[in-house]
Order: sequence, then C-alpha cells, then structure tokens
Amino acid sequence: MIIKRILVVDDSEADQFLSKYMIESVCKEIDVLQAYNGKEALNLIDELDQKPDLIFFDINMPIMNGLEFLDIYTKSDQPCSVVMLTSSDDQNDRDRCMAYGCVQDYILKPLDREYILNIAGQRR
Amino acid sequence: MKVPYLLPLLTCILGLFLTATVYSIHKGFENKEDLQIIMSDNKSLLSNVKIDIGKNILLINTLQAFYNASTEVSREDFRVFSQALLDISPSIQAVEWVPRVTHKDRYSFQQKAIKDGFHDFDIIEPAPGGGFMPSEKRDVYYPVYYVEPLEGNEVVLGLDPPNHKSRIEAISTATKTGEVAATSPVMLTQENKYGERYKGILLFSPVYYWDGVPDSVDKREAALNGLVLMVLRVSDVVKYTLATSNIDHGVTIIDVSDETTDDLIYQSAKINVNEGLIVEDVMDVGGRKWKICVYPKIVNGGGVLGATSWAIIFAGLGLTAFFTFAISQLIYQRKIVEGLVKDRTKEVRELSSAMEKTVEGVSVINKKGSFTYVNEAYAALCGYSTQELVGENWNVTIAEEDHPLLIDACKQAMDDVKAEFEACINAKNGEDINVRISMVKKMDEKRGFVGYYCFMSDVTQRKQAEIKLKQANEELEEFAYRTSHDLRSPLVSSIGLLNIVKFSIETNDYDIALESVGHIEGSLKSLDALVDEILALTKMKYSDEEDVRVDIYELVDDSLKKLDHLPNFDRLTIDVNCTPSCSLQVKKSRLKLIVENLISNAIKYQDTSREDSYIKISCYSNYEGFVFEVRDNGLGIPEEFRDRLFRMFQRFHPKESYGSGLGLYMMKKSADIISADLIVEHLTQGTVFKLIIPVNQGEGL
Repeated sequence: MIIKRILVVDDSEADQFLSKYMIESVCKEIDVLQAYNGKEALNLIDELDQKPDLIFFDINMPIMNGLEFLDIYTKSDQPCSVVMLTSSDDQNDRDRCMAYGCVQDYILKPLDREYILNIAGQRR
Repeated sequence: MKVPYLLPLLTCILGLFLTATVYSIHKGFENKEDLQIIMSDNKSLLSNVKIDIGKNILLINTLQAFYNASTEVSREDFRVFSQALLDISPSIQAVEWVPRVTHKDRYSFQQKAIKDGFHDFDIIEPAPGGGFMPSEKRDVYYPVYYVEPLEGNEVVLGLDPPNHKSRIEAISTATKTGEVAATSPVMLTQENKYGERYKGILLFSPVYYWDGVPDSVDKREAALNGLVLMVLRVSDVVKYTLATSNIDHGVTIIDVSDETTDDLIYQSAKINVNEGLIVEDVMDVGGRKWKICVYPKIVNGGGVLGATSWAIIFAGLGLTAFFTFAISQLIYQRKIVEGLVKDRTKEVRELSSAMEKTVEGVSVINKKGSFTYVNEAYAALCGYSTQELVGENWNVTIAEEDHPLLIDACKQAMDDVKAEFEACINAKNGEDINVRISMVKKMDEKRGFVGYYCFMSDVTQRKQAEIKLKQANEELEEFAYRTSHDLRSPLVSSIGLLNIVKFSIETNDYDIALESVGHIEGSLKSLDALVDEILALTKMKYSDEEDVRVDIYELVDDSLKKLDHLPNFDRLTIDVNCTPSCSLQVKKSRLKLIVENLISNAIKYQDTSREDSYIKISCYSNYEGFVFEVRDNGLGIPEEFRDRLFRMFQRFHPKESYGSGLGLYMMKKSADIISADLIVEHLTQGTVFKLIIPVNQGEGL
C-alpha cells in the first residue's frame, strides 16, 4: 500500500513544521495534513473523503490528548495505522498506547528521515 | 452506732437462753420421774439395810439359844458354832463369850484358860500408859473368854475395860432386860485385814443359868451366867446391803439414843440433797435408837444429769455455736463482698465515667443488632441523643453502601473476636462522617455470644488529609510527568529544527532556515515561560509569607502596566471599578499572582473577532466577604473542559496563546493559601472570575 496522505497531530507549531519538513523531504508526493489536538483530528478525518494512510500523533495536547483520541478513533470504521510521536519516554504511556490495535508504533521526537524512509519503503 | 457483730452476739445469747429453757423444761419432767424412782430406791434400800441389821441381831440370838441349849460350851464348841455364824455374816468382826466372873472365881477361870492353851491368860484392862495390864480387883468381871475368830482378835482375850461406860451399860441392860443390848458406837480395838479401824457396836445377849429368862431383874442379875457378844462392823453390813441391792445411794446411820448428841455410826456419802429426797427411819438395835437415812448421791439436789439432758445441753450449745459462727462468717463474708462490690462499683463508675467522657464513641450492641448502650461521644458522632439510639438497630447509623462491610465485620468478630473497618456514617443531619469502627465480640460469663462492643472514632479529618495527600501525590506525579515532557519537548524540537537550519543553510534554502529559527525561538520562549511558572509555583508552595496591607487599586494598576505589552491589549476596553482607598490585610504575593493571572487570561483569551471586547475589573463587599471580580466577553471556557479548569497543564485555547497550562492551577492554590474562594461563572459570551476573601480578612475596606 502506497502512503499518499499522512496526518500529523501535534499542538506544537515547531513540531508540526519539523514533522512536515521531514516527511516532505523524503517524499514530496505525500500529502501532509495537520491538526493541533485530537478533537481537530477527528473532525478533519470525518470531513475528508480520502482518509489519511498514516497518522503521527502526539500524546500530550490540550482539548483532546492522544489517548482520548484513540479511545474514540479505534471504534471508527477501518481506522488507519497510528504512530505515536511523542517526547514522553514513559513506559506507561507506551504500554497504554500500544494496547490499541490501530497503534503501529511508538517513537520519540524528533521524527527522523530514516524512520520515514523505512515506512515508505515497506509500504512500497 | 453500727455494731457489726451485734447479730451474732444476740444469736449466741438467744441460743443459750433457748438451750437453758429447753433444758429446764426437760429437767422438770425428768426430775419428776427421777424423784419417784429415787424415793422408791430410798425406801427399798432403807428396808434392806434394816433387814440386814436385823439378820445380824438374829445371829446373836442364835448364839444365845446355843448357850441356853447347852449344859456347858467348851472353847471348841464355841469355835465351831461361831465359825458357822461368821460364815453367814462377814460383817461380824468377832463373836465372843463374856462370862460373869466373880473375884473368887477369877483364878479358876484363869487356870481353865491356861489349860485351854492360853498360857498368858489373865483378866486385863487398858493400862494408863497404853497397852494392857491385869485387871485390878473387882467384885465381878466381864472378861472376853472366848473369841472367834481368834486370829486378829487375840488382843481382846481377857479384856474387861472397867471404864468402858457404854460396854458396862450394855451388859447391865442386857442382864436386866434379858434381851440383846447394844453399846453406843465404839472405835474397835481390832483392825481389819487392811489395818484399818472401824466404828462398830457391841451386841450383848445374856445367858442365864436358868432355863429361859428369869421373870424379875433381881433374879436375872442373880442368874446371869455370862453374855454372848457380837462385835458388828456396821459399815460392812451397809456395804453388803448396797452391793446386793444395786442401789447406789448414800446411807447414814446415827445413834440418836442420847437426846443431846447424835453419834454417827456410819456414812457412805455426805448428804447433799434436799430433805425431800431423804428417806429415814429409826430402828431399835439392842435397846438403842438408830436413825437410818437413805438418800441419792446428787449434788445441789438437782439429781444426776441424764443422757437426754446432756444431749440437750450439747445440742443447744452446739447449735448456738454453729449459728453464731455461721452468722459471724456470713457477716464477715458479706463485709468482704461489700468491700469488693464497693471497689468494683467504684471502678465501674470510673470506667463508666471515662467511657462517657471519652472522645471515642462506645456502644454495646445485642445479638439482634440493637443498641443497648451508647455513650455521649457515639451519639454525638451520629448526631443523635443517647436516648434516641438505645433500642435502635445500629445499621441506621451506617451508610447503606457500607452495610456489606458491617456484615463482614460481624462475621469476622464472631470468628476472630475482633474486627476493624472504616465506613461512612449517616449523621442525623445528613452529614457523611468517616469513622473507624472496632468491633469486639461480647460474651457472657458462660462464654456465650451476646453481642458486640463497638468503638468508633471520627477519621474524617484523616480521610480528608489522605484525600488531600492523594491529590497532592497525583498532582506531584502529573507535575513531574508533564514537567519532564514539556521541558523536553521544546528542547527536542529545537534540536531537530537546528538540524533543518544547518541543512537548509548548506543547501542555500534560507527561507526554510529562517522559518526553522522562528520555530526554535518560539519553542525556547515557551520553555522559558514554563520554567518561570515552575519556579513561581515552587516559590509559592514553599514560601512562608506574612500578611501586609495591600491597596487593591494600586495592585490592579501595576498589573495592567505590566501586561500592556501583550498582543491585542490596546483593542480592549478595560474598566476598573476599585476605589483608591480599598485595601486588604493579606499575603501580597498570592493576591498579586491571582490578580495578574486573571487580567492576563482575560487579555490573552479575548475574542478578537468582535469589536467590543472588554475587561471589567471591580471589587466590592457582600455577605460572603470581599470580592475581586474580573469580567470579560472573551472566548470563555468550552463546557466539556470546565471540570478540569483548575488542574495543572490545562490549555483550552492552544492556538490563541502559548500558556504553560499552570496559571489557573496556581491561582487556585494561592486562593487556598489566603483562605479565599476562586469561582468562575460561564456567560453566554465570556467569563466572570470572582475571588471571594472572607470578611475577617477584608478589614479596612
């Protein structure tokens, strides 16, 4: 499956910029969407006709954090893969997130080029 | 005055009195019967004594008849006949033949005796210096010529005491009357086999030459041949009678022939009885009058105590002693028990008093779960009076949701004697109070289960402290977690962005490099703000600040000047309604933090989409105290997030501002420190925050 659209959910403008830059630097064809909290992400996914193929999701956010988002999103029809992208190295956070079926991976910020290459390569 | 042993004393006296009474009554009956028996025995014994004396007198008559029937009685004849008499009566000391010897016949009598083998025989009389001597010359002699038994009576052979008045009179009387005549009682010359000397009498019976007794005194004196003499030991006669009659009474025999003096012949026991118990009679013995008295041997005239009397006395004294001792013991035991009861009562009162006054609730619950005792502390905890609770089932005081705990505790107490649990009680006023309950199984003296002792203490404060501690721990954990995340996050971002900057410069893509630097700047500013707030929070938690007078108007004015650099400050209409004289005695830094943050939030979260954005700052007093109010028509707080308004790291408008999310949390904590209340009212458009400070702190408004 070719990844054409990635949703980055993070409340930090700097992290949003960083993640988008890294993804686009690897593959300019990937459409990078942005949301600043879980609630915005759910609304965006709901509005999109073409759902994202992958979601990079931070955990700590105002309004709706990563775990609250997963509680709702995991119950939706055909949820896409979610990679938790966070600066929290807390094992509890890791275990709780990985317990959701749609969560593919749990990685620490910043998002690096090799990881994106790896994911893109596997998908191709 | 209380006499502790008066009752035993009275019992003892009563017992002795009853014993004496019963004894007296019994003795009355017994004496009557005894008297009849005694008198009968007296008479019987008296009769026997008289008969036995009479028998002995008859024996001398027999000897007289023997002489009268014999022409001549040789010494051998006399011995044989006398021996027969002596065998009949052991009371006879001696039987003698006393011939009438004229002086001219003295020699021939002497020769005849010598011829009979008594070589030293002579008519003798007591010598003045003791012993005997030949009788002086008299016309007539009455010597003892024959005597049987000879052994022991040798001394009297030939004896004719010239001065023995009673002997002379008896001989004279017997001669003249022709009948037996007795002497007055004499101390016998002979000794018995034990060497003792007794009183006895001499009985003389005349023997005439004539056949029979001459009919006149002269003829009898002229015809007198001699006299048979019997020496009688009266004491032996009576002893024999007493032995043969089996009546152990006293016998006294007195010779009353002489009207001036009484001569005691014999007395077996002293007379110690009433005259009514004595039977007496006067008997003629050889012309003398003997008074014979027979009487019982009873001391004080009461008679001998019978077995029944002794039984009554012993039983009476025994029962008296028993009851006296028993009552004394009962009184003693009672005094001990009273002492113990008194001590125990005192202890119980002290314990009861302590139980009543203790701050811990104490109650006793029966098998059915109803209160049988409730102390004041227990009732007060539940909001009831003790009277209201006694009789009630105790589950009325326990919150319904904790009834399972109660049931489990009851079971555990039954098994393990004791159980403890914490529960919530529903006070009468509806208040929920956390209590710790200790239940102890209550048992009776037979170790049977009868209920529970219940000890209850209020742990509400501890519970609240635990909740606060738990909240504090949770906050601390969240603080550590969020701090580490929020501190690390901008740094990690900045590092990543610096790599982009480096790469962009290398590839001459300066636009990306500049944009990245802008993001780095934003991240670092965010980090700086976070560090500032963390420091402020730390400072707030640990500083110990004194109250000072704070002018509210000045504080608001200073805050506005400090915040006027914030974006969109100038587009706001800010209305301050605080009088210059409005001041408070309060911890200044706390109030300053609250005021600055409330105004800062109102500025940051203004609704830039509207033209008439405003902030209205006012302070006033109402019944709750001093109120500092900040009202705005800004973005407000979304409804779904209002419940976590005062928690750490909460940001509800991330796009509009880069707050740390600690501002409201710090405001709430500061309000707590100055004992104020921070409340929020959500308007259709905007928000109202009110800081309410209690009246006592709002002095000098």
